[in-house]
Amino acid sequence: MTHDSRTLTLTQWLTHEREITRLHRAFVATLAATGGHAELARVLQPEHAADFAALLASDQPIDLLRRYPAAWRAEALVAALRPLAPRLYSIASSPKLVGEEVHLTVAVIDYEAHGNPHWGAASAFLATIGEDGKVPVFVESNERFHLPADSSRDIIMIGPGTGVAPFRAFVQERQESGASGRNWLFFGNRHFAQDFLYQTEWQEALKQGALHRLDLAFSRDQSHKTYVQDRLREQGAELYAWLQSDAQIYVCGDSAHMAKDVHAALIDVVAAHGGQSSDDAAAWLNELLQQGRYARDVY
Amino acid sequence: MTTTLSDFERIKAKSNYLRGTIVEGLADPVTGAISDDDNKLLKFHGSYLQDDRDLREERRQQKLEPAYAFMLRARLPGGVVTPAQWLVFDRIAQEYANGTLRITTRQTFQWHGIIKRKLKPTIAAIHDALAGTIAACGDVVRNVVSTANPIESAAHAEAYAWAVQLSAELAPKTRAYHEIWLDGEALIGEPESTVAEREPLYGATYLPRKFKIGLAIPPLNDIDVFSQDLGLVAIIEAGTLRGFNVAIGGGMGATHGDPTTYPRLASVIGFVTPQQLFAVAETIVRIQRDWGNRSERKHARLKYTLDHRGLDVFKAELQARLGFTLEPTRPHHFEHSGDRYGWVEGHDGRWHLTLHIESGRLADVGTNRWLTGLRELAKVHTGDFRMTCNQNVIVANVTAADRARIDAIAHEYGLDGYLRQTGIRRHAIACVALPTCGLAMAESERYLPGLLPKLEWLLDQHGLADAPILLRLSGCPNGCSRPYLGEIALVGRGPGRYDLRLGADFSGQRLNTVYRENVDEAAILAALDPLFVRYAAERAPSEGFGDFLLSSGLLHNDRATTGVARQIPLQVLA
Repeated sequence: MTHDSRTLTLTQWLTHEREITRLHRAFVATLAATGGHAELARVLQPEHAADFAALLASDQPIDLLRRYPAAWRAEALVAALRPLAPRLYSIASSPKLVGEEVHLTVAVIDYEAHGNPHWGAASAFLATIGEDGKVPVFVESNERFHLPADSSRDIIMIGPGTGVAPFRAFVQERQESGASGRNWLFFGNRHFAQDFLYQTEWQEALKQGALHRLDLAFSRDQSHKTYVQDRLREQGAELYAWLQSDAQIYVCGDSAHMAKDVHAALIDVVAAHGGQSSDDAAAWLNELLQQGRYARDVY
Repeated sequence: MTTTLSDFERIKAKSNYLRGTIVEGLADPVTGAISDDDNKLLKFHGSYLQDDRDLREERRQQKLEPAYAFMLRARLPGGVVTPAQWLVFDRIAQEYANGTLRITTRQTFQWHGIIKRKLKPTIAAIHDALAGTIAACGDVVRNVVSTANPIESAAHAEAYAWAVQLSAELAPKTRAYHEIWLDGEALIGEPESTVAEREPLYGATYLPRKFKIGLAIPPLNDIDVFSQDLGLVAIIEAGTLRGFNVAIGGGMGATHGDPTTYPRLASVIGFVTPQQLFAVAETIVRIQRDWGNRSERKHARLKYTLDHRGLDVFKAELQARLGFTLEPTRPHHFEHSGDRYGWVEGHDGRWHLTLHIESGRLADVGTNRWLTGLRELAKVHTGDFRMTCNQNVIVANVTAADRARIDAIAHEYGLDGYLRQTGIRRHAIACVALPTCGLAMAESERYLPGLLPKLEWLLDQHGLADAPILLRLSGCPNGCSRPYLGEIALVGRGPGRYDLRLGADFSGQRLNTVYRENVDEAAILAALDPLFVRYAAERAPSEGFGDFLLSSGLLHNDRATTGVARQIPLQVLA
């Protein structure tokens, strides 16, 4: 079938060209109109924005197609779906150590919802493609998130979950290049037993002196949930001392909650250990952000 | 000739009485393990670091360390547990461990799968139940076992009391256990000169190797008294405990392909009165402390000390240190080394129910809800529980009126299998082995359920379904399941491969011998089948399978019959 003057089979369109795991407003609108679904039309109205946001968070296009039947022609369906957007991953390795390889840290999205299995488009693709599979890739550099030019500076890395990816690359790079600055990693995830990403590598890095401090927060291992921001507060005095001696600070990972909670914790740490008001602490951190001494890569 | 001390001796010596850096290791959040050195010390506290060997490769690929967890073993002298303690141990199994309780071949409980941060609360919970784990493993006198004889209740009570007293007397005295696990205060700033007094018996480096003590009341040898470093045979005359025959130098462990290591039955050296017992036991431990081999751990057990120095030399040293001579050995007679299943009535009119627990593993699997069943029993039972060295449990001291209620619970949870089981199933013992035991070379506990039906089928073909035959499975040659005393024993060599050993007697007084080396299941069954045929046709009345193999000439058991002393390399004895 032809769309945008390109002719592919429907399978090819859906497999390689269209966004089929993420909902967007135009698709919902088209479905509401095509099927005449009043409920869908309702959530599209501005006064029901909260319901719409909830729908975006909980459903994939396939869920709506199942729930709200409509007479689709293949061309119309392909037209209603957005083009597949590239997924950006942090590179989790240093070419100084791994040469021509590029390592990624990918959380495979795989869950049950509405009685059916659901997958992430890119993560499921990568998880199932096999060792000889070919993946179209490009490199997009992030000028605001890189190691300090002065390798004697200390770095503080806050990267829970897959946010740890760039820090694996940082530590590899600093070890291979013989950087003299200290490296401090804050990592968190749900369970120590299953979710301690790169555990054996961090253990080895600690032994070799390539990683100087590692603080961990596993949220589901005890009744009271603990996160990296709790560790930041616990280590506040030491953390502030590092910042005072010109340490670079990085945050990578979830933007919805983690980055905000970590930022709030940093304000608390600076306020408590720098003897400042929260406003002054926040202002100072904003300065660091402006200067690039505090860098974030959140998604 | 000089030989350096083994690395383990260095670790003990610098451990400051078993402290090492265990506290620091427990607090390290980056790993679920502790250091190798600390793990060796941890054994003295009753725990080993293990990992789930089934998951090793998968986790290696995931860049995760092995699935570390700790095995924890209680010290329960004589294997007696109150119902209240049982309920605590059961709760620990569910809350802190892998949901199972394991009865060991030394009459105690093991828990598996306790992750590092739960180890301390687990030991604290055991302490709160008035039990402990100190010296359940390690180079010390281990859990003292005693015949779980439920019939001669008075004799049992007396034997049990001695086991408890020996256990207490010979336990390590270090405060390390309290400091590390129970938040007991460290004795800070103690002068150096008092340090030696912390372990008046053991000293700073404890024993060269583990030391096992067991007390048997004839005619039952359920503890396999001759497998103990120090075996005590109670001599009861006219209902009174006169004293004990003393047997020394038993031990099961060996190393494949190393003829300088071997299982050995304890040698009986004389008789002691109850008043002499502590002095004799302690002095034997002291001589082993002083004479035992501290260079080569695989030659460090008392059995090698005896064979190296000579039994007579050892006995002379013992008597010299004691200042008196041992009386001549008194006659004793053992009938069997198994348990008696079902109800028996004690001399005081109380009743005792022995339940068969396959491999000692209390778990809820399918219709066999043994863990829950024992919990339900513990909730209503007014007597006590006794673990046996054959991995079984006795519901002891039941009033006649309570029997029906106990039976009903046993039936409801599938604990009454003893009523129907074949002879070989009732006499099978298997060690833990894979996936948790780091020493295992082959499956054992997990293999038993698959092997037994095949053996039962063969035996049934020849009308031998009820023949009581001691079957012992071991995943390695170290011998936790006392495989060298099995009439049929499999000792693991590698995945799916075992040495088939035959010809021990039925009462734990003769070792078996290798019949087939490094064979698989098909070869094992093929080797046994013709022997079963001959046994069914030719045995004398009540003749055991092991005895028959020798009397019929099917098996020659030179070593067990002649007791040839073995040469081991000379070592410097520190």
